[in-house]
Amino acid sequence: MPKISKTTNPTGLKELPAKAFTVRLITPANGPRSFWLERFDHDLSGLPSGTEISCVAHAGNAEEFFQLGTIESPIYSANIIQKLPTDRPLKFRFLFCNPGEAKLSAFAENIRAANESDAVGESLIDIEPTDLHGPVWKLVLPQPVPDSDRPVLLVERHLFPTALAAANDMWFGALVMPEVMRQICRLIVENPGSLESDDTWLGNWSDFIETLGVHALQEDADHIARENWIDNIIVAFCAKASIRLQLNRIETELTGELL
Amino acid sequence: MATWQFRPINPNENSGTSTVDDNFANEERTSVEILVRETLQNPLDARNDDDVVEVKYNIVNVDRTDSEFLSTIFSEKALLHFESGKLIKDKSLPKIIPFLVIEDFGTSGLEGTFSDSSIDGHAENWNAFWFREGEGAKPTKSNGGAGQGKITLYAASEIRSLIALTRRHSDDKELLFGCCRFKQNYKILGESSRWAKEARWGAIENPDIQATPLEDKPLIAKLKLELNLSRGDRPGTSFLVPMPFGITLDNICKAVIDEFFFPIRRGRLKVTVGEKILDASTVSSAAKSLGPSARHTPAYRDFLEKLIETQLKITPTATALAGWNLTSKLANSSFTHENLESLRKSFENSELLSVDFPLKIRKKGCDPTLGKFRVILRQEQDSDSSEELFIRQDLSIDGEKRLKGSRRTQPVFALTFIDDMELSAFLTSAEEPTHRTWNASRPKVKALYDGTSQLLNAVRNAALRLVEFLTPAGRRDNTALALYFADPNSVQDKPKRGPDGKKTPLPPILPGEINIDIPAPKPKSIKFMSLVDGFSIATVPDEMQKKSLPLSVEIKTAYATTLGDPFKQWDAADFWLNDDKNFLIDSYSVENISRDGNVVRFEICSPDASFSLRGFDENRKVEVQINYREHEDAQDIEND
Repeated sequence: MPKISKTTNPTGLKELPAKAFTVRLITPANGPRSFWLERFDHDLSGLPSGTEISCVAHAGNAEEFFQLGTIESPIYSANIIQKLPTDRPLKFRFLFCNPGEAKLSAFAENIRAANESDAVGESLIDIEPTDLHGPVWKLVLPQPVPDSDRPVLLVERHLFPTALAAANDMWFGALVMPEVMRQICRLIVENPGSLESDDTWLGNWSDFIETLGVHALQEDADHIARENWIDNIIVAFCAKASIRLQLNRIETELTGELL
Repeated sequence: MATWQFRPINPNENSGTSTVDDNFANEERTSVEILVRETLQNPLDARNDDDVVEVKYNIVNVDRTDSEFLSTIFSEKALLHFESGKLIKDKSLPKIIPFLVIEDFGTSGLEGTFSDSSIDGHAENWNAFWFREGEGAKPTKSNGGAGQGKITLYAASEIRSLIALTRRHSDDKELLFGCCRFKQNYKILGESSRWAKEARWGAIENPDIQATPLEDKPLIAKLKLELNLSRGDRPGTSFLVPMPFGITLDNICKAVIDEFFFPIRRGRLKVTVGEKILDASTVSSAAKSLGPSARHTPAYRDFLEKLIETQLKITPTATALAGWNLTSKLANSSFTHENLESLRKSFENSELLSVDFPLKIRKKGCDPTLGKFRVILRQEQDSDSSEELFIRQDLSIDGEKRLKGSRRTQPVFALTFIDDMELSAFLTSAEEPTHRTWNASRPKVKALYDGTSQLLNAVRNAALRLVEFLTPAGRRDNTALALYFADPNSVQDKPKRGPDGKKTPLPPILPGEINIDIPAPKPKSIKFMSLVDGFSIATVPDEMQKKSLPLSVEIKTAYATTLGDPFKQWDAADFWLNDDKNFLIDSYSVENISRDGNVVRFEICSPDASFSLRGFDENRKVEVQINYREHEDAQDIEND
């Protein structure tokens, strides 16, 4: 018997594609999981400014609700998941509505955390455990010229035998990563126009800097303006959920209280 | 006749409070978890051969006005002492007295002399349980040994009392005895004498005579009946904790799963909590039902299950060579060449691997003996950190953590499994009273053994050393730092960058490379259109010409749901299509329309027909499923 299945859409509810979102998830050995919205593609969504985002994390038949601000300034900080079973697949539903309205204007369903799906994104910096004979870490920054290798963060292999051991270490993340970011920024200001060049590895950083929400550096910026720009980048970088989460873990270890 | 034996103390005796309770004050474990540990550990020690030990927990209510044995426990004299010892506020007790009943089966019961408390010895369980503190009768290789665990049973009772009915394996005797352990020595109002912290409940009232148990068969039979005991004629002990507080069957069940998942899943222990049976076949699903509140993660429990099935009784992947523990790190020389290769290969492939570690144990005054233990582990590349457990003779020593604190190693799941009697005896004597951690400086272990720190550290650190040894040298990784420096342009199927930082484009698909004829979609006979408050359908005349009319149509409707089948979740409260005032049908060349809850049926009689249904909530999506077929006597052209 032929069959036709259709769904009406009286309110014009828009379904957004999964590629508009990047969600990260951290599952510590002890303690609850945390997730954060790392990226939301405002342009791709086509939704007007002021649209409010909320998120329903769900696993099995259980759900947990989170408010995530508005689409022009989403809340990127980490959210602790406390009520969901850990033995069922965790997925996220994003809901959008105009301010003050209950009616949904858009949604996205079955979004998985990037590091839980197979689509593990690449990093702009490589990391490699090696013998450093004293220092714990060293950032190798090749000159941003065509055909040069991209940066690699070397870590002392006796402390961190694997790349993940260093990347997931809260002290390493909170103390070293901002300084790595600073060194990249310094190279950018020393090479004006490098962010616009597609020929070198530094050109790959333009989109990353943009996601931090810091205005581009003026071409005629003086030394003080350059230093201020770097500081602003570092502050924005440290506000990222990934760094914030490591700070929370450190705070918990030191004082037993969350920031 | 059952009676309490309260004893005034000698004027020269000290009085004060008991400090044993403090040894079991543990902020990481609830009192129920500590009680469960103690009450399951003891029967595991007292198992007969390799029988499965069975323990039952239940909470039973007894009517005080209708119970012979309760009238002796709560006699006027007893109530006076309980009140004076601040165990009860006044003598008014509730009519119904709850009992926590803990029964073990497949054990030997409390063996040994029961008429002379001065007799000592390894087999003197009776005296050790009722008349000793801090010196158990159990040999040190068994799980107990500190002789302090029984305090948890008293502490679970509001009146700090415990009754036990034991049936002994050796002589089939059934003995009923009890004890109350006051928090401190006490005085009765208006009297000067101080009373002992321990009062016995049994056959003798005179405090100058050895307290002995009741063997009164009618009384024991009544007690079994009133407390609904499962004892029957099977050996073992039934512990009866009057007026338990803060204890429910649910939190007992959770504590059993958390503390004894391993021996239950291994088939060494079966626990019944109320009506719920936890054995090798049910404990996994019971643990799963605890969800995130379970102590071990589902992945770690899965690891334990796999190793129980495959790793405990087989030859290990490798055996460390003698002298492995003389240096702080494992080296290639710690294994044979063949063993090394299998170890590295298994580790790299994230397979289960096991290593036996031999050790010399130096007991004072004796020749060194050889003991061994096994470390079983598996690399967990997707985990953020490691999980581990130390199991000594079915008891988890869960306060010992070595891998978790290490930031240097690859995440792994690990189990350090000690089943060797000599090594177990050493470790038992090094255990803190709660049996959750080891301490090489405890007086008992120092008195019995030489080289305690080295020996203990060898056991504690073996899994960590093995992981450090097997973790391969670091490799350059281009995704590990994506947590901090994710490339916004990097998603799956997009061109990947090479080491030079340049993107390598995906190979283009050349014309003719794919040569598959994808058939055009089959034309449908019916078109669907969404309306604000419903939907309409219309026939496609060209397609309908091929049909044998009339066409029977059935349309199912339901409001869309986020989870599950919307049609199964439809409820008459959502909408009711039989309500023809609110649900309006407009049709052309359609006959025999019938409404049935969320379904509407009709027949299309002409190639040019239409049908619309309106009246649904304008704010909700409607799922519509249209089934149609030609007249039942006609040929089904669609399906040909």
